Amino acid sequence: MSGLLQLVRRWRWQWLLWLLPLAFLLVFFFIPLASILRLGAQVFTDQAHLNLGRVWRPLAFTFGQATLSTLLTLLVGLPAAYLFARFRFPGRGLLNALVVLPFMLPTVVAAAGFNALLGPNGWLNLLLMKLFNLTQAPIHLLNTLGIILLAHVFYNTPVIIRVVGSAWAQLDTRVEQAARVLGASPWQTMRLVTLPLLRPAILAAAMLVFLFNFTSFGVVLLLGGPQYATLEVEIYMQAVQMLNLPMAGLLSGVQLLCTLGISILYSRAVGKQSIPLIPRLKGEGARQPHSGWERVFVAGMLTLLILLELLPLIALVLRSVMLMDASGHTVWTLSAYQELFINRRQSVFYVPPIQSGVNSLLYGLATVLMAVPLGTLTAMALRSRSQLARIMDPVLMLPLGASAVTLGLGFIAVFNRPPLDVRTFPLLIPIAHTLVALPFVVRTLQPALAGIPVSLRQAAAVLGASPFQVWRTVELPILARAAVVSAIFSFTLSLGEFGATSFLARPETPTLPVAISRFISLPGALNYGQALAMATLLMLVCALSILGIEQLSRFLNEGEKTNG
Amino acid sequence: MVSYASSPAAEVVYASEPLTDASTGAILADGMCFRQVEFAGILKGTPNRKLAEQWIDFMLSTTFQEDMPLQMFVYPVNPKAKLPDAFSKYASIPEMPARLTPAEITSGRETWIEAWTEAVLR
Repeated sequence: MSGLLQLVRRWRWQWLLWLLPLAFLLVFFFIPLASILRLGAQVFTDQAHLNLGRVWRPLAFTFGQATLSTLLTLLVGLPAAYLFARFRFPGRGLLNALVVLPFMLPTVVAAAGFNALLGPNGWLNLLLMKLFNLTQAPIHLLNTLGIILLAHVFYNTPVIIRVVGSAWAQLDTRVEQAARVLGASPWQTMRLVTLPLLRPAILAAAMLVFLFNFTSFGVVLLLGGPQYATLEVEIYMQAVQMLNLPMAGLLSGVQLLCTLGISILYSRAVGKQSIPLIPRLKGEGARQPHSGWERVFVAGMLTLLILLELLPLIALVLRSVMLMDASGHTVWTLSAYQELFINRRQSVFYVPPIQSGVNSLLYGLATVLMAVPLGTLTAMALRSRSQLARIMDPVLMLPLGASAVTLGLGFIAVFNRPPLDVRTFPLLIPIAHTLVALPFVVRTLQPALAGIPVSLRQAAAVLGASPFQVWRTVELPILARAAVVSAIFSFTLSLGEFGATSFLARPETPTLPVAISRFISLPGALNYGQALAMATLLMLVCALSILGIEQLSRFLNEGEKTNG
Repeated sequence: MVSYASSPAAEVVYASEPLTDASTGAILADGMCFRQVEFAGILKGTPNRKLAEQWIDFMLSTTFQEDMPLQMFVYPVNPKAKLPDAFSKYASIPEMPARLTPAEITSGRETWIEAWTEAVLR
């Protein structure tokens, strides 16, 4: 009897843990999602002439560009993964750390970087105009498919390097050596031994990259111009420009089906990754390039990676401190930064750009304050391995499958009367960011929580600590580092979030990405300069956060190894 | 390029270095421009009629009307509002804009938006 009582008590305790995360997801994810689907269904009942081309065309373009982008990314990423897995060269560690940067940067920063490098007022055009005394920009890459693909390759090459590169470095070199001894040429070894062993990793990385490209929003909106629209961009256009909410809802439904499908394929691909990889010593398979071809390969790949991954970011920083005066001379100045603080035209409704920075920081902090406690509760609830936890685990990851634009649309469809009104309740923006961050927070905290030995908690309990005391004095200090990592992560994510925010930010309270996207499309060199200055500031804050996360994660992993 | 008649003024205002002349011009010959009227109104049956009226009055005040040209690059409707220098110097009002009756617009709007989207944006 007492056993049953205990069971009931434990269940109740668990329900308490679940209560807050579930209520949060229900109100801010499932209800908006349901309303979007309902909106989408209206298209079939309300709109007399339904032009299915409006669904079909963006869908075809989304699939097409995602396929092309993924293939191009593999083309650059696989040799790059080989480079990092198999060769030692000066600056390897630094470059390895630097190439993760692009992947975590906000899309508006990447868009601003490519604009500063290849846009009509970018470095390349300025240089060519100076060299050949031209009055017009000779290169028109902005608003072409080319620059979209380029930006996607920029974004996702780090994913291939990370996922495939680490699998490659773990590969037992003796298998390849055996193939060579048995008479296989290097090419045959690669084709018949190495690549088949790497196939699961390549497949998983490619699926992930495809998913990112499929849901691309900021890059396509800011670099692709009006004629290119992925589903994400089309949802935004239909909702915000055409005010056709049912059509936006229908497109969101289509988008949701696609992303869920791709996610399921991805988790299948990851599940198959269990090839027998004997753990190797770090850097064991890497060596100096010796033959001439190898030196050419290493030098060529290094140049390509620096041009592709770092040049746009350098171009952004340099372009933000450069102004052309009336006579065409280059002036180095911080005036674009000073201008961020000034209401130059004394306008009534003007929001100084620096205010958007303040907004972003506040939203970021609010996101951390919501995402980390909710994530901790969820991770603790998931720890129990009960039936409930097994059912809830995939449910919690569902927001990952919904795109940010869909979230934004859902919010404006549902939260339109007080107290939860998009127009008067600015906390809805960090709430949307929390939804995006939550799955990552949970996945960061789960292993840290699982790593705490049960005996530790039991010992504390035996010595008379209450469950709360056990949590506060034993578990919390151990969790703290993982919590800091997830806090920085949610903060960075919130700073750069553009998809949902572009729906939710009011004109008087823009965030940095929203302000950047507005200024970069305004005419005039001063607006352009300010957009680049804001993008540079955003990039620096994000870069610092990312480096912080990297350092802390390394620290965490080492800690776990010594503990275990 | 299709743009607004006030576009040359915008060029000057948004230049990083003071410009003495606009780098683009607008062709304002008869029938080359269409008058675009932007409007604000009060919704029928609003619970906040008083507030809405105050807001519309504010939008019609010289403070708002003088601020608007350089934010939206449109002309004020309040005759007392002073036009900014950039407007009086670099922008001019076409004398004979093309006209369409509201009925014509109502009947053609959907088709035009569709055609424009097809022709320009795709």
